[in-house]
Amino acid sequence: MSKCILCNNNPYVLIRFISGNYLHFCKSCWEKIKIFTIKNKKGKEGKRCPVCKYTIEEFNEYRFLGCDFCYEYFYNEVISYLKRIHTVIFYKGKYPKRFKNQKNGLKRIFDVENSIDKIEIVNEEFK
Amino acid sequence: MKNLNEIFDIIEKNTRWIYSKLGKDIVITSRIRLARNIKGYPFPYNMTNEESKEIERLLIDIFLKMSFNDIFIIEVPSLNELEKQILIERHLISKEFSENGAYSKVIIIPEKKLTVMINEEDHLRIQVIYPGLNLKKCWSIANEIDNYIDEKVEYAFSPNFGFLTACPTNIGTGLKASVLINIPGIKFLKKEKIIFNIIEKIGITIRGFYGEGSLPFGSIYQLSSSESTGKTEEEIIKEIESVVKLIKKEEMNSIEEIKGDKKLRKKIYKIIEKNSEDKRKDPSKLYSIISLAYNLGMLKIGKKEFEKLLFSFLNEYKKIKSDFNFYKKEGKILKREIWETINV
Repeated sequence: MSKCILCNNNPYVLIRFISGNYLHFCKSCWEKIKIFTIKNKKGKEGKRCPVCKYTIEEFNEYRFLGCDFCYEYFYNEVISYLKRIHTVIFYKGKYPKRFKNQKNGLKRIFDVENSIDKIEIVNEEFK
Repeated sequence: MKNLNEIFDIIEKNTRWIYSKLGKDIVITSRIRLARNIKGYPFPYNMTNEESKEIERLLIDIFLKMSFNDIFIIEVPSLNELEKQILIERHLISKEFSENGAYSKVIIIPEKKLTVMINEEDHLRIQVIYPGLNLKKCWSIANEIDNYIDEKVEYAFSPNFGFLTACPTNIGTGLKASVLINIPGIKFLKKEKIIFNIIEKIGITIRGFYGEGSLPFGSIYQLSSSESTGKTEEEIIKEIESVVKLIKKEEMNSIEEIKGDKKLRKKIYKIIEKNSEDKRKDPSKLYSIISLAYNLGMLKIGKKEFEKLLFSFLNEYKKIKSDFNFYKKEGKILKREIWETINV
């Protein structure tokens, strides 16, 4: 059985990449990374960040986000926008202290597939 | 912690380091800026007053516990227009920041050449400015401060995107590296458009004296990195340094070209004469042509006097106080001495 890519514990979430690769994270590592796309089949109207109440309409108008959680909640919209304004959007710079131990593992994940807007996450709890 | 109203003169004197390479190098200043936010708080435009106060208290407390000789904490809304202008002229705060609301503070730490803006576009903007070409030194200090704060707070960060910022254009490293350059030779020969087209293609942005949306000041331009992600901090800095080296070479070639052409040198003298007599006295034109004349050896003026003159052009504050007289006095010396040089 596959284990968490970072700490070898039991898996909680599975990430699939467009290249066909996939990775598992345990709940604790997953909480630290917080990478997911929310499949919103109902459409984008009324989509509001649960933390700061910022709306997708505000983002489209002002091109600013409301809080750090907006980057996850509006993941698809942010990625589309970023692709227009940045040549490359995978992260190569320094890591804050709380992520330093995971840095090498995380770098390996994102080296697998640079086109991060094609990441699909299958989360058992959301099914 | 000192009260701004009592000691603005001290702040003004302590921030002159920014122009200490005037006249010595085409690079006037180098700047590194890091944008950071605290995890779990809305970004500044989306915060309540209470949240703004909390961020302010949290960050100021961290800086007060660091051991600096002098630390100036300035409440930007309490400044008058002239005081704001000085800080903008010295590139210590942005124009947008000067127009911000109640909970915007700037911290100035002269011994580190460090300015920190709290609740500008992001919770925290760490800025280090050094005279001349010195991006590595600026980065070393900014990084040191950043690492220290990282020990005390949780930054908003995602391994997907890097450091998270209010505007997605700044995500990733959150780093902007920029230099203020003076290229009077290139400008005089009207070569700047071709050169700027080339460097824009490799991802360097050209801006005016005060950055985005501002006009150039004569032959002074700001060059800055445009990509904050997809590269390491060191790669971003190296890129700008390489571009500056190319521009330096081109400026030296332009100076050599003008030196060998008597007609061009006479033209320079005529421009100085015309602008000295012009009642409006456009400082940006005079700045460019005088620094060109100096680089060509056409000016019989001491180095210190030349630096003082350039400084007076760039500072509204000093102009109003006393340098207008200084400039007038220098204007007479300039004219006489240039005339002597041309006619020999």
